[in-house]
Amino acid sequence: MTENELIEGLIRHDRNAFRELVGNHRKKVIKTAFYFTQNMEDAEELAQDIFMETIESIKYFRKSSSLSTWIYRITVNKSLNLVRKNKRKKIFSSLEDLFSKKSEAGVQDLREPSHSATKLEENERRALLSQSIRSLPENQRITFILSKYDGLSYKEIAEVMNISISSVESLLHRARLNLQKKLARHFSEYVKK
Amino acid sequence: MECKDIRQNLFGIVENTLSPAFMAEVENHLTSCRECSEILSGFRQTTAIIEKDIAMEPDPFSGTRILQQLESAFFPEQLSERRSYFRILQPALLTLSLIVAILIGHSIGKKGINIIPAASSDQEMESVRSDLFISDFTDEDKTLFLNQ
Repeated sequence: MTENELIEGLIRHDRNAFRELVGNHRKKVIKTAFYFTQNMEDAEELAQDIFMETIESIKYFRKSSSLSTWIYRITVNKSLNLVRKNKRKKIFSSLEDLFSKKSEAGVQDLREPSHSATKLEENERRALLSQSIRSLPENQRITFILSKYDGLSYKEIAEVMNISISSVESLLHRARLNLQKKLARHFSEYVKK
Repeated sequence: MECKDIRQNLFGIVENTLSPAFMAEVENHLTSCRECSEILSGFRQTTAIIEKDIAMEPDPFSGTRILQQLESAFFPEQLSERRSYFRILQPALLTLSLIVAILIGHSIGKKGINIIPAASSDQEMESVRSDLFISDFTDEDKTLFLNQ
């Protein structure tokens, strides 16, 4: 099935087109959603929403970019919405914790570990990395994830984000510098302890 | 080379995208600077998680779940039609299987099952008797035993 046939099929709500769409893009959608949310359950639930949205809005697709780029755009938007929603939830629950005098054990564990930087447990390293990526400005975070995790070219990222290639280069450069700075500062504090 | 040169190029060092001359200076610096060495090692191990995430594969059944959800969202009437067919068929199939089970049970019961074979002839009775322990006694022993 060509891309045009697939799009026509999706507009007609053809079952074979649905199967083709999910078969071709499932892995990419779930993985990208996971890179943003860092939670596989959330990523799978998001994937369902992303495919629903793709089919529902396919009639508005103008074919100025590839279908894949368009699906990436929906994936990034949906993932960022969920991350924002979870962040709001976290703020409310931490406020609740503050009033009920619960300690922020997870955050403290990450800030004040008792062992050497090189001997960090994998889950601690994962938490540190995702915390550092999450703390990047949104556009830097998107370029970093699409480039480093998804392996997209500058041109592809530019199409997904609807910005120029030079903007992508600049955002990615700043994202890498910021991440380096955050991680280097973190490990430098370890060494000094 | 200064420590800041290392810390500003951590990605380049880990990804090995810097010039060989620069990398040689990095190696040289790391041998004498414990702090930079620790920072680079921590950075390398932490960013290695990205490679693990890239290699990770989603659940293979997630595709089926997504398709089911799309079906229920875009073809709800067909799904409910299928459900109503199933609602009618389910009790009919259950009744049918119950009738079949009763018929099988009835036919087995009619034939009868011989669990213990009957001792039909004198020969068989004799063989049973000969199996008894008393047959091991001699005639003399039997007399002695009975007179006691």
